[in-house]
Amino acid sequence: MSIHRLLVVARKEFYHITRDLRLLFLVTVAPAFLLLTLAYVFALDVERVDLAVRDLDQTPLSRDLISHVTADGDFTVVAGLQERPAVERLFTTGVADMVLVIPRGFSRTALSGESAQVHCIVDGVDALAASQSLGLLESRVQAFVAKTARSRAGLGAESMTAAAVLKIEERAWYNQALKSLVSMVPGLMAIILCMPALALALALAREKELGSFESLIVTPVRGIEYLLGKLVAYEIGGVASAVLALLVATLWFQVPYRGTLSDFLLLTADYVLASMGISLVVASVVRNQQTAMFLILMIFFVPSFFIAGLIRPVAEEPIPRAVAYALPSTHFITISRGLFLKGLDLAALEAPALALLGTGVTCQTISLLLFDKKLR
Amino acid sequence: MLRRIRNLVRKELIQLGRDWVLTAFIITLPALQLLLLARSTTASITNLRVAVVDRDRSAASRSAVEALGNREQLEIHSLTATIDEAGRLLDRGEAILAVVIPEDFSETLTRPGGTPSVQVITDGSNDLMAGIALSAAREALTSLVRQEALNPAGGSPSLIDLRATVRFNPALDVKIFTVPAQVGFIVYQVTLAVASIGLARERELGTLEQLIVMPLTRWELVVGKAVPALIVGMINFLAMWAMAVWGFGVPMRGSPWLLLALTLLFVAAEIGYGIFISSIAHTQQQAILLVFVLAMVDMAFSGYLVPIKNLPAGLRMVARVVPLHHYLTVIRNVMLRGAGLDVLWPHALAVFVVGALVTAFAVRNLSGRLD
Repeated sequence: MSIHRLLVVARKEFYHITRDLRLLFLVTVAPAFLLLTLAYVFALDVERVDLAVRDLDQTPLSRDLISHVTADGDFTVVAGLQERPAVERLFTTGVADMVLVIPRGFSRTALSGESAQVHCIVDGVDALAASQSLGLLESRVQAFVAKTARSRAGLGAESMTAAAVLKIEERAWYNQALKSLVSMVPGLMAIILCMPALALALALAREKELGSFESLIVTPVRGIEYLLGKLVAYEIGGVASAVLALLVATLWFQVPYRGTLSDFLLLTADYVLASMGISLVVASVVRNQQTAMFLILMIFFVPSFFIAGLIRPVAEEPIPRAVAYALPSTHFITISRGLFLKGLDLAALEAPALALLGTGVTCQTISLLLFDKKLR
Repeated sequence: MLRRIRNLVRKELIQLGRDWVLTAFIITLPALQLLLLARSTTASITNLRVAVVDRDRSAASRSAVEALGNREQLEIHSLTATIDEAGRLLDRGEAILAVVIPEDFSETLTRPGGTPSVQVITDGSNDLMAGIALSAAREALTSLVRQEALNPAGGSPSLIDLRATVRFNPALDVKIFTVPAQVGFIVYQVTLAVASIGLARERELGTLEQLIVMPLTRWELVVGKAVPALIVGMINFLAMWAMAVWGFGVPMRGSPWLLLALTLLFVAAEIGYGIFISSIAHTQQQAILLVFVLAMVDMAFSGYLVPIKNLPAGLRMVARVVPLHHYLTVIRNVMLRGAGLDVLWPHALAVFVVGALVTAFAVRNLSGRLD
């Protein structure tokens, strides 16, 4: 293997990237741009429930209940219903997520000390959101009961509610205010940094498709030099785009970065290596760029959004779990959150870092063997 | 004219069929993805791991630990001796919640007027899971204290009895919500992957010139390129839809024909996007990277991972021009709520308008290149 020939290939690839301005943009700037867009969408701190209300009672107590439920903005009254509602239509048009019906005589029953009924109809299509908003409504209603009971009895708080008996000190480490943005931006880094790896897979598939691969066979460049040369060029592009994304995260979004810069560079290079390894294997299997794109899109890119621990934790079931841990993005989400928020060092991130290194080296070796065979 | 389009379509289909690697992937990967994502995302969130530092070691503290473990969201991962140890578990991500029970927990609990305090520390690096773990712990501990707090009344009946009815999904099954969206995503990916390459590849391989010298108008060229993508997209939809209904038991409450028609509209609009990308890219590499950029933005605004109505007004406007967002609304509404065109026409109209504009733009763009 000759370092000189390797660098020649790397330089050729650099020319290719920098001469093609759009490609240069897509490999280096696009990840930062995507972070900018995605972070805004994923950084949601408020979950609002749109409530349609039918108040048949129309008493001070029923109005109090409604204003208590909607007091802090979790529930918003979007419609006051005069007639019997076409609930289905409210849900299909997306006007409301929940309908609250306060029957006639509500106030009278409640004030007489009996249990007064309130009906609530919820759109169960989004099961998770539905059960959350039901739980929230239930706790609001019980808090309302406690409050009115207290004010009527004229008693101090401690004798009435059990909640006051226990003091729970809650603390969130790493992200004190539990802001979504702070937790999503480091996670999204893993998703956006797949762009350079994808570009590498395409660059290789392109040489095969256009036939310029064959002309390489007659040059003295050997398979390993060829592959490593390309790798060097795109690896540098990948780390450069990561630094740009880091700047966007810390300067624009003000997400704290608590690790060291050298750890960031090292571990990002590790991640880019692993994802490029997978790209290389894909590129050595396929015959053209379209197939390469399809494979990467379906197997790595889209699943990364859903199963790599970005939002939900990695699944418990064995098969999805194994697939998740085969994806480099799963490990990098752990690394990125560890560096940004937990301020971990290399020793604490050893396991995911080694997993990435293992993926990288294994995949590079496989693709090298496949390529070497073809080059001979 | 029809004959010319037919010939072009036949050429495209032969080309696709000859690329048997791609064809095999187009047939198998969508089903695999649906299976994988459905199995990974449809379970409710359970077994978030908790590390407990029990300094009291009394019957009361043990029942507190038990109450935490009984929550379906939580799982007691370990009992540690010190906060530092629990902190290390949080650092490594092995636990998402640490609960510290102080020495005087049972003593203050039984003393009249005493207020025991419990410290709950969560890993905020995933804010959503942190929130779920926190509220589960809060509920477990308060309801325990409510029982144990020597409440002589034994709990009086509540003054308000909330009766809840759940429409469309009484069992609150998460799968019913996520699987139709995954079907939409898959149709989206496949259509775009097939449609975005066509012209860029011809240009890169130098065969676009041959097409230009043929007696084809640019509309015929676009239609010829679109039809194979339409066929692939629709076959894919039918397969995924069948899998959702018969494989995953997602109900089909609305009209299948309406869903089919609106899917056709959506697939056509996405092909418009694909051809647009194909017309602005000089190489396939550029086209594909653009597809990924578009896919990320579309996924973000699709309303699946993040509900659109919670977004600020500016971003909600962006979501309105994303066909995928409208299509996911349509597929859920038709399958789960049995909605008809009377409700869905604004979405259909939006997809049509956006698709037509993008396609027209792509064709105009193309003419600049062809002449």
